[in-house]
Amino acid sequence: MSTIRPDPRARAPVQPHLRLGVRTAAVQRWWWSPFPAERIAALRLITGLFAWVYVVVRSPSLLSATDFSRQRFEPIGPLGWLDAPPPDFAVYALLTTCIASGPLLILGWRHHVSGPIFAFAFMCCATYRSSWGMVFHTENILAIHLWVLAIAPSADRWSLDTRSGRSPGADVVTARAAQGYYGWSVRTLCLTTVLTYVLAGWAKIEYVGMRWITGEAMQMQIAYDNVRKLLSGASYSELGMWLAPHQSLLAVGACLTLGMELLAPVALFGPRLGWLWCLSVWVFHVAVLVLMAILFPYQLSGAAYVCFLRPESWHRLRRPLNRYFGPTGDAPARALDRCSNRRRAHCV
Amino acid sequence: MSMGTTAASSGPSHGSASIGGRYWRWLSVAVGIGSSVAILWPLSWDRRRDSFPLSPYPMFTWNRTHATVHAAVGSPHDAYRKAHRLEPRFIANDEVMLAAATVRRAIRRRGDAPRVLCEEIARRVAVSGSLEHLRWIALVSDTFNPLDYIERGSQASRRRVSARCRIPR
Repeated sequence: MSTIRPDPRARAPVQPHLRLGVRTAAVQRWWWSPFPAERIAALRLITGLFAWVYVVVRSPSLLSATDFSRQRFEPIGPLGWLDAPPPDFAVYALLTTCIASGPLLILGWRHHVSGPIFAFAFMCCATYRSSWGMVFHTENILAIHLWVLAIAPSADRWSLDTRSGRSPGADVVTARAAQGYYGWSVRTLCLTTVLTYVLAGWAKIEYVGMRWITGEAMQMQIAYDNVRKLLSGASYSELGMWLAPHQSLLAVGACLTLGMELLAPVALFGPRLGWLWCLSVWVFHVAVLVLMAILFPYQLSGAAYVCFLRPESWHRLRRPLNRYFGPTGDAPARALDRCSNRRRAHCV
Repeated sequence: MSMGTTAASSGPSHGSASIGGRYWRWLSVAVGIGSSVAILWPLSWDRRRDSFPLSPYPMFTWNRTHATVHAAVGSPHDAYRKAHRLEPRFIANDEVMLAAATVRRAIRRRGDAPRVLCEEIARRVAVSGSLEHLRWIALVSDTFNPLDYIERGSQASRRRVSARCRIPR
């Protein structure tokens, strides 16, 4: 039976536990925010489901690489140590492992094993796909998020581990949540997302500089990309072709893009700033799709930014999960709802 | 691996065993700092280097004044000014940009790479049984100003042939 516990978030602020000096106290409170276990569990479900569907949909493209000439193989990242493409059976085995372990991560079955297996298999599959002369930048954040979720205690709620009693009980989970045991992993997801955008912004400043701010670099990029796709027979953007000659309009977009990327860390300073930044970066990816026909599925689906929100309070997600996964799941989330309804400043 | 199933809080005991135990806070700091440093590590890379899952995200950072589009084309004769541009499935798979990148890489590698790719494409065209009117395959590079192309529809200012080969029919 579900037991309503005191809201861990309504307690006194968590005291920093590492003796790193007074100046780090605020950082420690932020890092170990008393988020409920349901939040990281919801992120596990959403991100895991997205990654699994993505792998299944992309598997024909991945397997088609086994027909490529060996000379084309240019291994990168985790596969950089290979001298030759892995044998076909290894690719099939890797993909099978990935597709088989995905549901285990989503459902939280023996998470301490299934999580790292899925994260590793996904990373290897994505790396293999990018090791044939073209590095795809659409899966980087997803691969990193999966690793964080695999390492984090993301199956202490809404998981088969909870149902079977392998996870700690509700009282332990609630007490841990109050101490920030689940907060750091959500913060890590947010931090890695934000740093990725800062890095992209910094690259523009370092390599293109003023030509980006004046819109010239973006203009040439949109023109080049669309003409290249047009001539190659790929989908291109009619709107991008129309807009490319208008440098002054693109200068506005270029400055907004740069600001959104370099100011990404503001998203870490509060839920409203986080929400605003997520909206702006999502609009940016919509613009990239509309003007350059480049699709970032993880970002455009919104799944990449759920870590900045409170998915555990979404009724359509919470109710079926509580119904299926078990009797102890809803106390902190209910408390969180009460907390959010009162708009208390310390709730998030 | 996971801290979730075994680690307990560093505060009062809640009746659960722990591996992270009292050190879970240090472990969480290590994960946070480690992942941040890893993501920022590409700042120190050479500009031409890219990787996965870590990347310096160099996509939009090239100073482009002219565009060079590389392609595989087919022709009934050993002349390629108005040759037929081949579909991506003959070059790599159905992904257009991967096919374009495959041709670009082969041309940039020089040496035997363009010829090897050309012959591979020619074999695929022959096996497919389609494009019967074609006899020759070539890897070509067209250079032009993309803005001029959009505004005035100007053709490539230069077409260079890197490799050519006969289709084995």
